Amino acid sequence: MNTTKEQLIELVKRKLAGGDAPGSIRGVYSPQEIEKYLDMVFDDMIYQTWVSGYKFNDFSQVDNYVKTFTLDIKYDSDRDEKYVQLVTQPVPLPNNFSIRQVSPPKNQGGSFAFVDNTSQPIFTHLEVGNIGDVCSCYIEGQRIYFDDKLPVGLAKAMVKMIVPFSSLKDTDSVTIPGGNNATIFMKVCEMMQKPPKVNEDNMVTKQV
Amino acid sequence: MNDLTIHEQERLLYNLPPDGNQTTPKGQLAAMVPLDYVVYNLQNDMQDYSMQQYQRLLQIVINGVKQLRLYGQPAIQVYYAQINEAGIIKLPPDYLDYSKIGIFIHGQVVTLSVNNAMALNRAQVCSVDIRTMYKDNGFAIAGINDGYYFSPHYFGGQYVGGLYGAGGGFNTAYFRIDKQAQQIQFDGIIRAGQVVIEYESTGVSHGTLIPTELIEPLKTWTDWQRLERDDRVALSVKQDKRQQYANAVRDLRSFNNKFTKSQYLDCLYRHYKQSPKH
Repeated sequence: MNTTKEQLIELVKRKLAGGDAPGSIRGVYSPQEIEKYLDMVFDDMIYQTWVSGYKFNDFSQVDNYVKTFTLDIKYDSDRDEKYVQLVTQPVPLPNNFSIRQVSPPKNQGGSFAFVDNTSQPIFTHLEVGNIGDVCSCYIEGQRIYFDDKLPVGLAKAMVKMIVPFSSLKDTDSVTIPGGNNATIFMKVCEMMQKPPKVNEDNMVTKQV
Repeated sequence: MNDLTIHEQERLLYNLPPDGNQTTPKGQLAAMVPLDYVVYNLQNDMQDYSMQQYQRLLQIVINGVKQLRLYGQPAIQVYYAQINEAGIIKLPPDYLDYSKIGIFIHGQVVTLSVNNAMALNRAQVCSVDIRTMYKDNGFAIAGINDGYYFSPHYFGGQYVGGLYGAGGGFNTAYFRIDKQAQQIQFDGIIRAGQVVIEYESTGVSHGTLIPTELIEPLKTWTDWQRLERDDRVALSVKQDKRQQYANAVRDLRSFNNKFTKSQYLDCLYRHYKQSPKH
């Protein structure tokens, strides 16, 4: 399904207001709360899509969640490193998979190599750190830092990343992979339901 | 003959190659490729189209190049060195082993001889080597002290014939590799103090290009090594990948050791000779 964020929240809200939603949650929650629960379900769905892609070695479905940003390259004088400020923290996925590509805006063939946050001490002391030409980058919080092989004069960087549901605007499109359309509603309802009340008579309180 | 044009007559007269377009075909793929080509090629085989593993895989490729330079296909570098007063030359930083050490005469390297009985002397004063090159009457004292490597000639008014009947290993100068100190020691007479060292290099530097025959061994090496230290991977998988690498190296050696028919005939005819007959 391809819809907007606003429409998806409205769909869930209407389903909760009537339809098959359990009585305990029917018409109770506000759109802001529904968005929070959708955010959690959406992140879970992204992870499950990644797992499926890893299993079948096909990540084309994960790419449906990718958003592209062109960001200014700034300079951190404390570290003497250049970086870009991300608009939001990416969805945490194994092996930094949320960052799909970082490259110059007009040269995707010259994409930068994405490395672990703590890998610099290792690569600096190996040949690849000295004789390699490709600029490497790593993520720290909401910043992506570059090494000193960043092309001279490059003012912007293009970042393709998987963003969480909460960072989308109301009019941004949301793609739900086939097979997950019903799942998203079910999971939202499950998360929003209150846990069943434990019958106190069943609890053993008397000491023998 | 008179019916031919002047151009055709000249071609026949001077046995020139046939007319026509002699340029190489356009658009041919380059035989020499950069190191990261191996990484991209392997990632394509693995259907991994991200750059997350690039640095790690490239380092594994570099390790593979160094491994193949040792055991599969050496990279020969040439170093024209000047010995210092102590008869010492510092080894180049990429030195692995030597193939020839000699002096340059008329376009050829005339090799010197190794003498591992030479005493290693690393003595320095204020970082200057103070070792003394050993010479006796102008000749190296290792081996026969009146032997000449070169053709017969006159010396001091006397005719000195070429050495006849002596075995090999005698020379005007000798060397010993001192790898621990990263230097070579020399004894004897070295003309102009200049030595030619052909050595096997690590073969890796900025902008290194590798030949096509190394691509498959490097791909199989990288595919094996990226999993070798992962304890979660089954032993059978690692063994299979190791065998693939061994097969690729076997093919590489076969490629390196092949020779053409003309090379074979040259080698064969070298041993043909005419001898005086009674």
